Amino acid sequence: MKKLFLGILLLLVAAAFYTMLTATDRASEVPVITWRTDTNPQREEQIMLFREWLVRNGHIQKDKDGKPVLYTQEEADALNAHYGVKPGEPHSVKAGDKKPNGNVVAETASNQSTLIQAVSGMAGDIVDTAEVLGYQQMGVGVPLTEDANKNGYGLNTTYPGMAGLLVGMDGEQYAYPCNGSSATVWINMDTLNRFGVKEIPEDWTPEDFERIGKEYVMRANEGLQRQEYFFTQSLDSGAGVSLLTNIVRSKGYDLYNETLTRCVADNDIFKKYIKLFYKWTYEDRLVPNAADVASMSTESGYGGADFSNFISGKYAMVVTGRYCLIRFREVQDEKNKALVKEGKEPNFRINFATRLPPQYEFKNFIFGTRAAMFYRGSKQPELAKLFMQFLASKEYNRYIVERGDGLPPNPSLVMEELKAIPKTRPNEGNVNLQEVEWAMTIGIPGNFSPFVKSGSPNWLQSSINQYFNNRMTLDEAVKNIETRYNMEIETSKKANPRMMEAWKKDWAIQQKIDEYKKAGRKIPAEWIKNPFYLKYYREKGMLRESTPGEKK
Amino acid sequence: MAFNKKDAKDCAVGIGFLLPNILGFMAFTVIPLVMSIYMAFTDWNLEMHNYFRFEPIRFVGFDNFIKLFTDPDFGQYFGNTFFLMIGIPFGVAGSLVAALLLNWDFNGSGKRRIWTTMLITAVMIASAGILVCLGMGATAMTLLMVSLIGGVLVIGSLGGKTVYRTLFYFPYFTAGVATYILWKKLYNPLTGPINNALRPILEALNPVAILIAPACTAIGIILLVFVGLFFLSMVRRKLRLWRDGECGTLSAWLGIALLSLPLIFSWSWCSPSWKSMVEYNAACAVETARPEVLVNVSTTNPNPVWLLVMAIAFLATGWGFAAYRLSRGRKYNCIPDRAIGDSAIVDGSTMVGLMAMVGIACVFWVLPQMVLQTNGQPTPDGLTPPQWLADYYWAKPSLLLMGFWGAIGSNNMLLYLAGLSGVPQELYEAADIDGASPWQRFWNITWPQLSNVTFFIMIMAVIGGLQGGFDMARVMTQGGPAGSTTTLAYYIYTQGFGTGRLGYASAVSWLLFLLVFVVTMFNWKFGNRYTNE
Amino acid sequence: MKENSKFLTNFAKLFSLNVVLTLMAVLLVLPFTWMILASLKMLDEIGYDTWLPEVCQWHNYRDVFTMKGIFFGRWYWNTVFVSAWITFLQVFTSSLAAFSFSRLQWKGRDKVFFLYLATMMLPGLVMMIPNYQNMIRLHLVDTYTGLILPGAFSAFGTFLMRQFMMNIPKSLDEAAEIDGATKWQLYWDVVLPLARPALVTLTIFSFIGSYNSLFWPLVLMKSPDKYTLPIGMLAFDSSQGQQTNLLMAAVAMSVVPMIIIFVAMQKQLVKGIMLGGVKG
Repeated sequence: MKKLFLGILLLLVAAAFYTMLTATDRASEVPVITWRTDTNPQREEQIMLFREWLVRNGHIQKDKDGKPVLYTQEEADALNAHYGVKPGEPHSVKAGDKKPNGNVVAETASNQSTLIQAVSGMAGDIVDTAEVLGYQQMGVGVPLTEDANKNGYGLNTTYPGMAGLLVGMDGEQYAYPCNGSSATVWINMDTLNRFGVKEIPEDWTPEDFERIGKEYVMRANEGLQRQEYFFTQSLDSGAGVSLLTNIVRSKGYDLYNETLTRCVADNDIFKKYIKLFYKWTYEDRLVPNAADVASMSTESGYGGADFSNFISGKYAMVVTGRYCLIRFREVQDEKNKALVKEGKEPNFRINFATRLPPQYEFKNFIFGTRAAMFYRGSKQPELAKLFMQFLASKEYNRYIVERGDGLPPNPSLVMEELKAIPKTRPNEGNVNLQEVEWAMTIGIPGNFSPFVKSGSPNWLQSSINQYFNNRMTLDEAVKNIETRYNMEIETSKKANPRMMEAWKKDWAIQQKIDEYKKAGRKIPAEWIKNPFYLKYYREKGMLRESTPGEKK
Repeated sequence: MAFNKKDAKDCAVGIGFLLPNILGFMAFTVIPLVMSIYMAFTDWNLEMHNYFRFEPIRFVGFDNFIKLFTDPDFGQYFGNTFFLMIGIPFGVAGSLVAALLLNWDFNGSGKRRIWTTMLITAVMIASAGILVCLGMGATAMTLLMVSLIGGVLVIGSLGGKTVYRTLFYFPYFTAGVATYILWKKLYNPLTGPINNALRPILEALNPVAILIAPACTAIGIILLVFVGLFFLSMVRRKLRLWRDGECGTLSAWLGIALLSLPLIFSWSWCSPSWKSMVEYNAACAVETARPEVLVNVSTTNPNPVWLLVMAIAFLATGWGFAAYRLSRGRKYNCIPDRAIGDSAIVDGSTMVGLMAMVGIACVFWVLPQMVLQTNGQPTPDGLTPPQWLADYYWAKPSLLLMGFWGAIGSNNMLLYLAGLSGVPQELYEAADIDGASPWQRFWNITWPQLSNVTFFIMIMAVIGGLQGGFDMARVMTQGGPAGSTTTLAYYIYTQGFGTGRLGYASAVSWLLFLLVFVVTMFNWKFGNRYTNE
Repeated sequence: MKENSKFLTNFAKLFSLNVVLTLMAVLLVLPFTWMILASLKMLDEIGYDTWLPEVCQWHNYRDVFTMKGIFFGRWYWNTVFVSAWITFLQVFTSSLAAFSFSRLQWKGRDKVFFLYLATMMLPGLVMMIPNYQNMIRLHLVDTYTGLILPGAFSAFGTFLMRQFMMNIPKSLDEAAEIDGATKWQLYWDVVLPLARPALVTLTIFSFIGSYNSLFWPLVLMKSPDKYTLPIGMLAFDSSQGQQTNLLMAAVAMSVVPMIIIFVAMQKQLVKGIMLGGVKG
């Protein structure tokens, strides 16, 4: 007994030592930053790119005498193996290359874990998030404005509309985008042409969408026992929400008011277009309903089932972001490889075009970002800032453009490359340049309010879902959207005195805005917090721009 | 209360042995407990109170609890927690059956066992031969199933009880993230083996369903009427027990209240969600769903008001009868809470069974819409297998099914086995002399003898059920679709760790504790009453 | 003749019983069968009606270990390491406490024991949030120590051991006392060896419990190379879950230790549960 006990104890102690010894050595000779991000094999490539960038910009590891440290053959092999590249391939290293003076380790975790670790001082150095505002309010961000402007990753280097997603409530910049995500309509021209639809107008309204869609769906499903072809993906989804936002915004409405202090969805415009979506789904059958989606057997990969249906021709178009190019090119390459195997010419390609989502007078384009936030608990602030600088660099942006992983964060550096793509990939139509141009000119972030917590449900989507499934009437659904979001606002206000203060201030401004609007007076631009209204009013000439001297 | 030197020394030694445990107990139970009570009454929010930001924590009194009860979703999550507990009686019944089977006399002589094995092997070979002759042997699936069944049978008959017990115990033993992921794949609507197996079966059943579609409404009604009649007969049983002084007044009312629930439910099930289910299925089934069709479907269906009248009629009869009987007085008196355990377990389980029957009636109700269009033509898809975890209505039943799989061969089975071995054999011998049927033997000897085990199992299961659902929700459904699998435990997690509202999350935890506490107190107070009968 | 017919009825009974039990057992084991077979398929074959792979892809099992971002081997080791430590500590502290509660006489003993029992009723979630706050304060977030310590003390284990130790005859204590044994010797040399079935049962329970524990590691651990299997599997499922065949290979491998332990110790375990349960 005694021997057994002691034996086990010894074994356990030995195991503990073994575990300690084999734990990945974080105490490396160069500074290492951790990058909280999503799971994606491309992150590793981006890290390799960063290492190269460091070397190229002179951030190299030096020995005691100030001479650069070089890779030995062994180290080079190990590194190549670690990142899964063969010697000689792009981004690989060879013996004799200089070593960068820093490294990045990518870490992935669920949102819940990231949040809890971020507030505990444990979230590494760079945190990728779509919720900069939320994190800033928790005090886990560090204001970067000055540093960013000095080192070339300030707000002016990225899209004008992006500011709202990178700036905290105090007006300071807290993050720099890793990429931009967008919601564009991708049209498979081959599918459309097959059923005799030749053209999609450059500027199209929901009425055009309905007219063309009806014609297309009728022709495509002729003689089929059950409908198999649809105009686009289900609108009971995130894409539906984005499309709805486009449409109501083009009519001058938004989910939140000018100061983002209240949800104002309970109105006829929201009702009208949610009803229209219902009509498209259940009456005109332009888009599939839940049962149709379920009966379409698709494997879902990167880009989701909707994108697979788009490629296979079940959907004539799909609302998605530029990141789908990755999957799209993969599919194309696979098919062509198969053709080569069969001894045929690899000439398979899908021709497609992009359009703005159908909308009315005020043209708008929704984008978002996965922003890299500088974390306050960072142990390596210098390297972390270099990383931000890297994100704004030409190398990184060119990489994003080439790989199709979203919109480049610093587009002005890579306009040439974007323009060059149509020549190398003619079938990709205008997707490469067009989205960037839209983002530059009419891009506005999606719905957000600093008073609605990032973790709260998407009530807009779930209310549409409830209406579609007859669990709510249209009136109830729209009312539900408004009350639910306002309840969220109420909760965050009550939970946080600082928030309450900010809300009260904004709410007072909102009253003044309402008065001004009623009186037909011009509204001071700095009052408007909602990026949509800011742009909308500015275009309508309803704003009084503040002169520099007037600014408080 | 003299505390002399020896006492002190004893105490020191006692505490000394306890010390390692008590330190951990303090650090990881008592201190967090106190903190959590404190938190529940404050506005502790990670947004303001964290590693980087220390703002004064405010005491907010009962605000968190008030918010909890005014939270429009809380009711749903609460309901989900209880819905998932419906599986408990089924699981317990399953383990009882398994234990009874395993307790059967296996102690045949070695000779007999070898004989059995030989016979089984012969039968297996013969059946495999027949299969091959019929031309089915060619399909790999058939061979796989035959060899699986054959293998278990041969090993089982050779190894006896232990082999089966081990196999039964497997699912429970391995339950965790790994098996949840496994089930997630099994439930995959497109590529999962469950739907792969169901599709041909449903296809074959489709003509039958079309054939009986006109009668479905009638079957549904018959089932509901049966539920009503069963309710009445159970009320009668309860009142008879009451009259004979075997059941207290309080227990009688509790039992009747429990038994009434399925009838109340049958209507509420029919009206809002059932109606929408009909419409939903109709919308899916008809090729072009037009609003007028939707209207037609809902109006041609039996009016829920009609069902309401039926349910109320049954309820009124039952309750009226009960009130009449109870006002008439009885032969033998007893304390009000006598046999309250019987009410809780027998009537509770009956209630769950009746609920299931209402559910089946519901299936018959929507069946015609699934196979027939409004114009009387068959639908193009026919009967389609469910979407399981992806479907709002199927997600919880899917989890229940999985839970049942794990619950049959659980610790409960072992406890029942232990209980069975403790039943005095003389009782059975006496029953044999009286010529009792196996059924009578079970109800009059085994079941009462096992009552303490049953009670213990039930209480532990209810406590576990109230706190459960976190792992499943986190791994399989993320609490969805539309919150249909979010239990209180998962809600605490999303509130505490998802949005950082620690104060609020603590308040929910304490409500949960209160529930568990009430159940346990119920156990302590009334458990002995039940077991002593 | 009579003998013969009785033999036949018994025989038929045994046979039909075997058949019923087999059918039940097969139903319960089917998901595992599918899991193993799916893990041997190619990805394209997963959705096929037939369960059998065309050609067994044994390399799937090897591939799991070499996947990018999936440190399967490391997770395996972490889980076994953490679970082993938790089990060791839990069994040790629980048996000590149980000895005190069952074999020693001291004032207030039963009251303290009652307190222990009462905490078994508490939902673990109540204590999770403050425990996490404490871990932050102690700088134990993302450490193995933080995983092991809270699991090292168990009210349930104490309860189980105490129930068992109560049944060991008191006369042994007296005999030992006469021989001049100290309390420690009594515990170490007399009671503990006799409490073997309970020790084994608790060992299994505690090992399996910590092997499967999800909630605490999920919030506590952040470095992927320190994950335990449950959260590792969760990460696997969310990042590479589309590769069902590899996922199933991983699932199959992750339940192997539990099956081994169970089969190896099931006799002891069953005895332990039966004894503990009936007394409970």
